[in-house]
Amino acid sequence: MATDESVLLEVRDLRTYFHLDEGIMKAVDGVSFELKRGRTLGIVGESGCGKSVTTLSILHLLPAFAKLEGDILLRLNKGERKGSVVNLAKLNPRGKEYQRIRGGEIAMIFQEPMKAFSPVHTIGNQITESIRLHRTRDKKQAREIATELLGSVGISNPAQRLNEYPHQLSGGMRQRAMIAMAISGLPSVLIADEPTTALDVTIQAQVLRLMNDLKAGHDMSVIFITHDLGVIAEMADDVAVMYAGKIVEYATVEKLFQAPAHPYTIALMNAMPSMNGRGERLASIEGSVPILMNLKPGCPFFSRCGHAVKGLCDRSEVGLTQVSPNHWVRCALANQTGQGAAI
Amino acid sequence: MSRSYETSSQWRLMWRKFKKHRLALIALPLLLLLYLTAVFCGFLAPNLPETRFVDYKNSPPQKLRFVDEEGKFHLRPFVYGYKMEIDKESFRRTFTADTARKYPVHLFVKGDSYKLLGFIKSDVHLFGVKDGNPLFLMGTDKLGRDLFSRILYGSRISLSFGMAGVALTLVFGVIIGGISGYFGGWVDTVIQRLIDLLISIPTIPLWMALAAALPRTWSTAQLYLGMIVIFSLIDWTGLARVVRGKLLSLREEDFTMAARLSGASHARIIFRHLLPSFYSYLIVTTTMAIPTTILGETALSFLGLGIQAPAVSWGVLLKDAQTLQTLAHQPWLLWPAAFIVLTVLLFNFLGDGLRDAADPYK
Amino acid sequence: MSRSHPAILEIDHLKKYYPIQKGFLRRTVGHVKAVDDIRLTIHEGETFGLVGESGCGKSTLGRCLIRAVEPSSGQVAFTDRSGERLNVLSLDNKKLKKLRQEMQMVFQDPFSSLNPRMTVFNIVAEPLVCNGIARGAELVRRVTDLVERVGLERSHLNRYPHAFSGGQRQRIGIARALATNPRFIVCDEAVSALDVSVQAQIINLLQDLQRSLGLSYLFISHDLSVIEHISHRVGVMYVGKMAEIGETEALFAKPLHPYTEALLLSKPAADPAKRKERYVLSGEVANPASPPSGCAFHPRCPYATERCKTDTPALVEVEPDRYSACHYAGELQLQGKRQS
Repeated sequence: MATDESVLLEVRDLRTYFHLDEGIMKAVDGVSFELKRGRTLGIVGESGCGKSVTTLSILHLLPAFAKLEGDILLRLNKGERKGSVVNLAKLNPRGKEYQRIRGGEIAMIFQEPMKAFSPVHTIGNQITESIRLHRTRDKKQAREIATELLGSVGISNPAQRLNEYPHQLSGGMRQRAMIAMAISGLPSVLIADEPTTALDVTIQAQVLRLMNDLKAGHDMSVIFITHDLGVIAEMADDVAVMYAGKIVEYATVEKLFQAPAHPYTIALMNAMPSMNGRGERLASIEGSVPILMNLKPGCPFFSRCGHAVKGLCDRSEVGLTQVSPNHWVRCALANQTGQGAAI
Repeated sequence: MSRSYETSSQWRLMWRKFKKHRLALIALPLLLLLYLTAVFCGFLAPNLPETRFVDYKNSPPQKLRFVDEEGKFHLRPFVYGYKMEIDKESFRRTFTADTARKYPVHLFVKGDSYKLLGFIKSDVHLFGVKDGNPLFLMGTDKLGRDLFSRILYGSRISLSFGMAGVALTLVFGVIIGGISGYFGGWVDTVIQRLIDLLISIPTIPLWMALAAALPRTWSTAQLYLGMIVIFSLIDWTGLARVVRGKLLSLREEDFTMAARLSGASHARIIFRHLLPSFYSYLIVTTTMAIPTTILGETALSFLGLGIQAPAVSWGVLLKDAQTLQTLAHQPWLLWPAAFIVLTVLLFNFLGDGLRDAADPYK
Repeated sequence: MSRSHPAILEIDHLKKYYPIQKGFLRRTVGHVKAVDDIRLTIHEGETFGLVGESGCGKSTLGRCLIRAVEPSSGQVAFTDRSGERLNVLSLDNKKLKKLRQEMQMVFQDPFSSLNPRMTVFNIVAEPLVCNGIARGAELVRRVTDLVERVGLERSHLNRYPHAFSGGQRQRIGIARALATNPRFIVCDEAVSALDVSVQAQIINLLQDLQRSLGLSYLFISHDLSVIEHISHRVGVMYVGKMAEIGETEALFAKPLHPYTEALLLSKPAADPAKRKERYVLSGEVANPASPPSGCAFHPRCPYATERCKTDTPALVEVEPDRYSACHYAGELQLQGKRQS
């Protein structure tokens, strides 16, 4: 990373374990990826696969019982140390520097905007506060920037909307306001955690387009988390498919959709109703996502996989194999053939 | 996930969560012990609450000893008698231990007769000294009555008052709150405005006014019941609100709708679905309300408006400790306060634990 | 399917208005027209898919049919097992209870729809007990049957809901709905809360049950691909009104209402090669408390004219078995689903 200037964020062997009364829950277990300048990395997976915890780990927004290991390397994009690399995993999560990085270098938007906004302050106050933290101390100037921002995310009457409270906006508008707040600190990395899941399909289309426009206009790189393969196809350049705390497949979006190689990815795609003929039986995945505690050795998808080989898949940890340029798969069967699982 | 977890009922799950709350886990047996003490106070107290030891007015607590003045160890504990001297200048009595008189403490000694649980006549006390000699573990009051015994007897009224008061409050709260929540509409509006009104009146003056209205001629039992009614009349509002709120939210749950569509009757919905869902909340609210009620009784009795002597409650006992002078010279008269503080703390710990366990499905 | 099979449910002019009350005296100052003059027929053995965005009234419509919510006015006729045509909205409590043995519901939220304090056995047995259908050994046998039919095991019976995953809980909910042997089931966003892989299991289960038991479904969802997959016919709702009704394939291939087109084109296709074609409808979903005049969709409609602002279009049969509430339904050349 130190040499490759185009990499903004690199996560290496990230492990986030939750120490619970019942035992250790390996929410994220050895995740590595890199985010290049100007690209969108999609992380896709079902609930409980660790995709949200991965991004919360980057910003260290974790509960006290979480333990984080690994490296999170960020290339700073502003300040005196612009261009140098810091390891977020080694930084004090409550320190000044981390505070500057949250919002200033990396910003985040959530599925539920009411979580990001405080209900007792106006939208304007909350956005200007962020602007004053990261861009200018001048109150009046901050308000002007805020008005401009709200306008740029497609909110009509921005000056008036600044004085409204979050609950006064509709779901779609709230999402736009949250995006405005996120980009107010001019971050170089934007993390979006299921930003359109709670929205109606026509509003989702609006927000997705807005995000792409802003990404281009503000020179941002995006990490986009979702469970929806359709949204991934629409938004991502690179995709990481997660299952049980691990990345099971990592590829460019074209490769992933043209030649998915991990049995889980393939099964997930086949389970989508739109991939099946009307009225036909859907190719469902039997069983359910495992609980990430006391997992057996071997591939975590073993028990649900239609291609699993006893004595091979359930024996030892499976590593990522490169099956073609820009395409990695964590499958023992892919190891054998060298070109995707033999399916 | 163990097999037992999957088949655990709500109470089992609550117990699992409750067990994680250390303080509550300690508070529960201690409270049980306190209540058992109140029930068996006659047997546990070495003396009767009204027996006067005229020679020992305002005597300080005796120390329970194992080692005598010669340094000899005795397996059986004993107390020394008191030598009383009157200070010629201040006319103050001072008590010093009389090492010549040694009274061994025995178990199951015969003493004054009392009625256990109100009907079993007995004269056996758990412990005491023989031949009517004095044993004052917490000293005596100005009439020479044993404070320790009085505290034990006083716990009967103080502790039961909390329970009984809250029980009646519960009845009012659940019925009125239930009506308000289940029927809704104008009934709900009227009840809620009434509650607003009641809450807006400051509690202590209201208590005092109502307590002062109780006839002085009433017997202790009548006073006791009267006070319980007063407390419940004032206290039900909070509980009614909780019941109503919970009922309103439960009514909207999909499983209530599903039960309705399954053909369940109103009664079945209320008793199978709604009530079991908030038993746990009721228990928590009740537990938290008991110490408030105990404190209320104490406050009124302390002010002389509640239970009247010769009946004993902790509040009545504390009345003796009202002046600075008594506190300076007879600090042991504050022992009842220690019991009150202990009880209230224990209830609060228990309530905390129950609150954490109340909704095991979160 | 539609013409050959007899109707099981005929809905006519169904309305559900919620009063908007203001002030201390709770004066009614207006109405939220959650369901506004719906006409619809559902046939035996059919899955009718109802799709629309949040707040369009699709859930309220489903609940009105089974009188989980009391409709304001209109007619709902249900043909029961014996062939008798019942006027659902005028039934007394006793007859309603009888009707609900034939009409049931599966809920969206697999967590709040099961009483956490009851075992699976008691949950599934409840309709049988309340309707006096079975007791004792017979009850145990029937409940076991039901639970096995939805893909759970006998050993699950004495467990509590908290021991199950979302998909399994939804199976319990389905078993409960099936207990009284109904002929019509309202599935209210029944798979929306589930992950894709589990969602597929439940959709398969619902389809299997339909085939083996001859069930009719009203399948409510906001997810177009689920609707397309499971439905024989589809109704598209917008702000309390039906915008379009038609056979699934025809409707998805060639919509007759601009709103249907917008829904179809807004949905991201799972194909990165198609991303340049994105279609974005402007504006927000109209507020049912104060819907726009004329056609409620006109402020967002790319084809709207002056006429759309004033005239409310009626739902008319544009082509055989194709109904649309658009003034220009026959004239517009609308795009169908993006092929992926």
